[in-house]
Amino acid sequence: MKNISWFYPENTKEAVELLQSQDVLLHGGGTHLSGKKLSGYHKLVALHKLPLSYIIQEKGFIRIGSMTDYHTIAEKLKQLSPGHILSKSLSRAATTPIRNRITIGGSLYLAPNWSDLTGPLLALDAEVELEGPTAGVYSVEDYLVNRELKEKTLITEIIIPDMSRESWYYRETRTENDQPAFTISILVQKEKALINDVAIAITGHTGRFMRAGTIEDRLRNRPLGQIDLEGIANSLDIKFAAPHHGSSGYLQHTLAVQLERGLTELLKL
Amino acid sequence: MTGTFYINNEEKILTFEGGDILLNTLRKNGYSEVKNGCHEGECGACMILLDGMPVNSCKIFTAAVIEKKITTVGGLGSIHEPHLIQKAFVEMGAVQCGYCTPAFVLTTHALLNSKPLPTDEEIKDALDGILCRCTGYVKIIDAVKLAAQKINAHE
Repeated sequence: MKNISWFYPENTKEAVELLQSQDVLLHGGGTHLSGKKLSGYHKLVALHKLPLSYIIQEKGFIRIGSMTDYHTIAEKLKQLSPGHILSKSLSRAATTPIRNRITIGGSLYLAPNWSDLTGPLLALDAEVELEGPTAGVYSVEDYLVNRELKEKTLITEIIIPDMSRESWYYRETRTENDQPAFTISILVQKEKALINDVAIAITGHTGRFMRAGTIEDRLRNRPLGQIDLEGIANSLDIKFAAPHHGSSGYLQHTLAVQLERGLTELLKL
Repeated sequence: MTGTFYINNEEKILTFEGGDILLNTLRKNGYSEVKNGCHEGECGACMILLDGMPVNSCKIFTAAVIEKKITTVGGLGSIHEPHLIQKAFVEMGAVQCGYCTPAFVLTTHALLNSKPLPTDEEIKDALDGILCRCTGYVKIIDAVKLAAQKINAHE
């Protein structure tokens, strides 16, 4: 393997400066980079010395440093916010030794179609803080669709509204450690017999990710007694192109069944 | 390039290339108990503890873990002085070909450090990154429970 120079910045300013030069890759610590993927790159910037591994709950938000690994997030959120959807999803992603290495920042940057991170963050209306040419705070959705935000920037923090909501997470796999064909993230806030708010995110389809706005509108501010979930997924225009997981029609049907199942469970219908 | 590592509680200065993988670096330097399996992060045979946490050494750049604390199964016990976890694995018949055993022993060590009396589910979750093609896992799970008993009794 060709030789590669490594750099070990100790603060974000140094890291962002290094990132502005050519043929540079950031390495958060996860498992994405391998020999063949390094072609064309000669400099790796290891981020593990940056002070970006933390989870803070304050002023109505949970702030997660971009270098925090999946295992730490899942375990810490169990304590800070029992039943948190991100704890449910990240504790089921990959396997224990991989979860000990994957960082939330690296995972959001890559956002593969099988991600167990993207859906929950979209449902949570999470934001991402960036340093670099487009420094600022952006919605996760903006970050995922706007390539400019990824150019030469460093994710420093994920910011999640700290709200009490019931959650349900589903990943469609044939064996537990498979990468999911699709994921469903549902958050519901109920008050007595009324649905105050609902958020549904679906990932893994040809559009990569989406918030199911039409279904959310159909459920929001509705009394539980008036909810009819039959055929609720019919309004979704979703297709799949992952034949190793099954045909698009099969996955559409499975998605509809699981979505109805999740809502039934959360709404206790 | 060179880097200092703390392997099995000893300070080691190792020489390696920038693109080298930790599994290969460790094996080249005599740590053959770190097994070479799939190179994909699937089988878990190459497990080590990095700052106490189980990780796949085949998916880690050596240069990314300079100055870190690395534990191989050789750092826990030896054939003459086995660790209580290793004794439990032998007593329960949880070892057959033995290729995956270092990974199970190390992962059990990490698990019992954080959860001294794990439930069956917690054991299965903790061991989910290691494949064993011989035992069918039942004896391994029993061995983890026995190891927990032994360690708790010892303390």
